[in-house]
Amino acid sequence: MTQAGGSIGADERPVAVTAQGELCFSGRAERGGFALQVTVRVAPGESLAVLGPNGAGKSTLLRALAGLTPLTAGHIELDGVVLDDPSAGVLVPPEQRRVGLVFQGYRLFPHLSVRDNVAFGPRSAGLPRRASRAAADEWLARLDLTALAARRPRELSGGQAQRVALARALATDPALLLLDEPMAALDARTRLEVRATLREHLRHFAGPVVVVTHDPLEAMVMADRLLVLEGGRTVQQGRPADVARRPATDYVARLVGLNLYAGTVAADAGGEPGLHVALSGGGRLYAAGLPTSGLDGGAAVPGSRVLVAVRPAAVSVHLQRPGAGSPRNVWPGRVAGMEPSADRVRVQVRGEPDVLVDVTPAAVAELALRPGLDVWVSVKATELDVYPEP
Amino acid sequence: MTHRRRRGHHGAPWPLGLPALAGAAFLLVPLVGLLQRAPWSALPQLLTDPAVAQALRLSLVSATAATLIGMALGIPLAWVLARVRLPGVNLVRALITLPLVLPPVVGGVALLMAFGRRGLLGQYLYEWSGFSLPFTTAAVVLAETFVAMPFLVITVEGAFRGADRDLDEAAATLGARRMTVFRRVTLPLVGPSVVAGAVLCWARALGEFGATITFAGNFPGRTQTMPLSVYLALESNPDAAIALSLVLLLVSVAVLVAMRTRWLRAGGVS
Repeated sequence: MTQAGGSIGADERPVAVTAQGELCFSGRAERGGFALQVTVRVAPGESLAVLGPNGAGKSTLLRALAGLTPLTAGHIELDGVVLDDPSAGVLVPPEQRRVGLVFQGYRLFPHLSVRDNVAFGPRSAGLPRRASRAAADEWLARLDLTALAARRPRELSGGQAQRVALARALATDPALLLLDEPMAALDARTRLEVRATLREHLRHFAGPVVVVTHDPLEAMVMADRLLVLEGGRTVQQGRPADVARRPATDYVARLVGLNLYAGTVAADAGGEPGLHVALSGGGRLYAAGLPTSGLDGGAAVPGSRVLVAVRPAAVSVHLQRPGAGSPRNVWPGRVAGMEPSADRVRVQVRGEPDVLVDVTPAAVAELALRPGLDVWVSVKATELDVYPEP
Repeated sequence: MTHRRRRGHHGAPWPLGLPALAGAAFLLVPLVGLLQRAPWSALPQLLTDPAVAQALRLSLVSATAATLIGMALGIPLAWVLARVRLPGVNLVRALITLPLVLPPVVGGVALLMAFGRRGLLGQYLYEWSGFSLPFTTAAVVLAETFVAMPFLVITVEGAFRGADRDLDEAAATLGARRMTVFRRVTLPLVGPSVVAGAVLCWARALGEFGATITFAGNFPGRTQTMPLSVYLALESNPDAAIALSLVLLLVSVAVLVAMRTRWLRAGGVS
């Protein structure tokens, strides 16, 4: 997990340090009173998903990369070329950047056919009409759009329009590909189909790919690495599996469906070889020994701040206080809400701490779970993942 | 009962209905009068008069020239007014729409003061080339452009303002320079409004009277356009005046029909 860099001053002027084909963004962009400040690198062939709630700065990041919103500090470098560096007075305009952008909503030209939409880039690069159409036809064939070449954008389905937008961006032979909420305009069923084909096409792209999304599943499926933004700052960065397992903020925890608690390591472990964590929101949790907790010795020092993640499926719910048993964490609570999903029911239990519990519909029936019911919950100490607060 | 109820639903209360009827009649009766007094049998002979043909040709040529100049200057002007954010742009917008409300005669006088032999610019033109603009066919075109171009500018400016800037951005990310974006994206998207503005401009130029007679005078074959010859013929030969008026009426109706069916509905004219 990498934190956002500090303020980027003129004295930290970048030298060309990017590897061939690599993207390096380290800067500040402002848009309508909002400031984005992040540092991120994306290797060629790697895809980075930028995840975050609305207003986190995801689109601003893409706009800065495309040159539509200039940086106010810092720099952007792509394949060894500085694209934006206000302190050096460098700003390459969008039309001179080798950056392909698939806009949210696609922004196809309504007055041009699908073929001419895709040929627009090559034509703007100076290719004659015939040659640019030939180049477009090649991309149309590659994205299975040949049959639609003569259509106007308004005659396309959402999935088709998305592929046209992708073909149009790729036809400019970009060194960097950006996708802004590529699935947002699609209905749920189309989304499934399109996600698979999109991932396939992205895999063939040689340069860095940045996908902006607010859908965690989309991010996990399409990206090699995640960057989570909140309020214009990086709150977490890492491999999808790591982010999913060890969320750094409540926002990420909610996205990946985990219980997340912040707390401090308590001085008294009760003579046991594990770890007591006093939770900031009230309550205590007991985690198993250091090897499972993943904390190194230093971070386990009493008083150090940690996060505890618990899968809802690892929590059990009981009508009475469970008697002698292996779970080391047992506390009372009251059912606050129940929400069915696919093959299970997610039960919200208010207590110290609050917890989400996944149970089967059969268990709900058997225990007669309903909002307002007083219950006990238990979690085994080995199911707790404790890691340092970033 | 039923009858009354139906009237109540579909009719208008008389304080609105009566003035509405009077208003419609007031606008239509003069046209009926024109048609009723038309010398239908003598029409072919009147309209084939070489003088009429001359005036008609001059009108068509000068109105078309004024429209072309209006487009060449007005479309870029509309773009700047819609897209450039500089102090003073709003003032310029207000001033260039002035000819819309200015009495055309005043426009003609102003043109004389600017382009006359001793005018603001005209004096230099005369010194340099010995050419004096007033009372020439060029002056007719100039007068018509002055009066008609604002119609095109405000129509097209509204369209540029409403046009989707997002598409301009998309074009830029595809490598199009700003002029290419204008030529291949912005302009085609406001095409219907450009056509509508050009038609309005042309129709206004075709009917121009006050600025033309003031700045260009009334010389048959050179500066005497249709409206001028209608006005003059009314004293000497009323039948000819009516015949000429019918031609202008026909052109106006054709323009209106074309605008309604083709562009006003489909295009982005507001």
